[in-house]
Amino acid sequence: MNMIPRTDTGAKAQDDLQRRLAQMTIQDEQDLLAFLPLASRLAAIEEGTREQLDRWHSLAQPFQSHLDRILRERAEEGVWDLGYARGEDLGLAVISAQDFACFLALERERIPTGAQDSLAAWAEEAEETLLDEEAVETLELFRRRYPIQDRYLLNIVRTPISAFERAVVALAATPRPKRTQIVQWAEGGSRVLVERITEDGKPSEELKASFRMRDRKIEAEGGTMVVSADLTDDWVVRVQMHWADSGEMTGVESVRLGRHPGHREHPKSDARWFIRLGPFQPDYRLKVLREDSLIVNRRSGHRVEVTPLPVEVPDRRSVEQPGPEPLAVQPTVLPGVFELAAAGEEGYGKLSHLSGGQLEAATKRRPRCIEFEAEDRSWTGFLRIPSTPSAECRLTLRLNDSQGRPIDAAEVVLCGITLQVTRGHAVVQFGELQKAWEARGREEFPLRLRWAGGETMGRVKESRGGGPANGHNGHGG
Amino acid sequence: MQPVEVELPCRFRRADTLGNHVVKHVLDGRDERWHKVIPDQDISDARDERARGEFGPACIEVAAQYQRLLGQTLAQLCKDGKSHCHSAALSLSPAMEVVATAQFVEAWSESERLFVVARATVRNNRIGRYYIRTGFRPWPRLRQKAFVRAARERAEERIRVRARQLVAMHDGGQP
Repeated sequence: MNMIPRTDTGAKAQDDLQRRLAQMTIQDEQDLLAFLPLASRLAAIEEGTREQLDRWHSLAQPFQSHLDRILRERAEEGVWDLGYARGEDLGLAVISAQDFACFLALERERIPTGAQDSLAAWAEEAEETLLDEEAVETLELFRRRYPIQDRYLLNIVRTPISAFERAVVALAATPRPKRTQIVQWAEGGSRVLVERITEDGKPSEELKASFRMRDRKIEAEGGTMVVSADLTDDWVVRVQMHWADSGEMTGVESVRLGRHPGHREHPKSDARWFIRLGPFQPDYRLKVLREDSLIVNRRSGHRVEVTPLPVEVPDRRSVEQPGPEPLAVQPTVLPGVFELAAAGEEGYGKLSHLSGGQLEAATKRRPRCIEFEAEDRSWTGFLRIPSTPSAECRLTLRLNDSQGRPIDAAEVVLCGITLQVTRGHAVVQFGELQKAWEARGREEFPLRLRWAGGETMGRVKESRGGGPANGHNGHGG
Repeated sequence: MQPVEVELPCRFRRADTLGNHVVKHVLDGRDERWHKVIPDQDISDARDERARGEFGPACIEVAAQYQRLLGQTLAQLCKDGKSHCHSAALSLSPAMEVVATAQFVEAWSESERLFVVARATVRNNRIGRYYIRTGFRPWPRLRQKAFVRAARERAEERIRVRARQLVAMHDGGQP
């Protein structure tokens, strides 16, 4: 049994290294491998000494012919350690990599080329190691005990961070939190848009006048923003902004009207933007103009949402007797934009968000339902859509008769796809449905049912409840 | 402080710690080659069980074998006086004296390619019972001499980084 006197901690760690190295004799290659990391660490420490490290080359003379192999095998051993060690041992494995990284940096010229590559690869591997909490603690202790010069330090040793902390940092870094300020289109007023059919397809003067926003002053972060918006003859919304006191608008990241993106009029200017509505159907354009908010996103994370006052939509549930014609009380249900009544909650999303493969992430993460009803009200149905559907996802369509009983033995044609209904259920693949819907230009979503009650057409039902109606609440902001 | 050797029975302090280490090293750590020291079928059954999200009889059986192997190897190495070292964790007493608070034994078996760490609490200069802290089979591809060097290096490095006092080195080599 060999009794070793106790070693001091802290600043005397170097003395400990000196003493340990002085005791070492190099008889075989394993002794050399034990000597090298400690000598390199000592030389890399601030005010450390190279005396021991300078000995290595003469000590290695007996193994000079296979020095390359010895170091390559040591690097392989170290890489294994990085991959399989856990906890404190993982920290110690990184420390070994750090020692040999010091050796490589200090003695590169005297190390065989093949071994240089292996040691460099080992250091690279160490840099990418995912640390756990124990390993981080071990590295922090190492750093405190051995003040290695910064230029020799691996990043992972300089700033050890656990995989968990790394994930937290990544989450905190993006996305930038938004601070939304909601203001109305016109102070004390609302956007009431009325459109008359014009022969040349241009918006009427009344429409342009009612949409127009002139020098709307908004007390925003950093000063008073002055915003103006106009609708042009070719259905382009032009937005102009400036600061009330300092003039030129800066720091704007993006502008949009509802979900329609704005484009800069000049690539280097944040002051003037335009949004094209020309390609859309006239009634859809009107809906956007009437209901959607103008949103200005600033790089600081501040967002201004200039919103119209909600337009009242009659609630058909409050009508006890069937009205003369349901379409007459659905002025806001337009082709291509279908209201989705949310299951068990108020508010709605839009079927248009199906494009791109999923409901817009900004909507509440809950399953959504598209509700249908027959023109003659002989049946109702709903299609439940998960918040993030995949193309392979199977959607279930449920159909009930007017008494609420499941419809059996029926055939339903949904958006051109024929489905068999059994016990009130029919299944359709989301990707297939989406394709069919897009093939129809996203303008139709018809449902035809053949059953014992006859053959009837259905349509998407009006949004359930009053809720936060009209546009901006349905698709985030 | 005098080195105190490990005696049987030696086990993990808590069953959940044992379970965690079995999962970490034997069941999840696929490159430690445990099938050389624990029957392959037992490990395979335990892995199947674990894949089903259970820690049932097969896992418990492997855990028992793992603990037994670690304890026996450690005690035997201590008895033979080879391939292990003792170190002490130190602290300052209220009277500002340096006192030992724990004694550690780190042992490595060349034949089993096993590395075991045990700890005993020290109070008022009296050492308590040793409990296993961990046991694993590192560096499966290393030759025997390289394994001994790596194991000793690991034990020494742990002592250095943790600022423990090396109490005794029993490996027949250099101090």
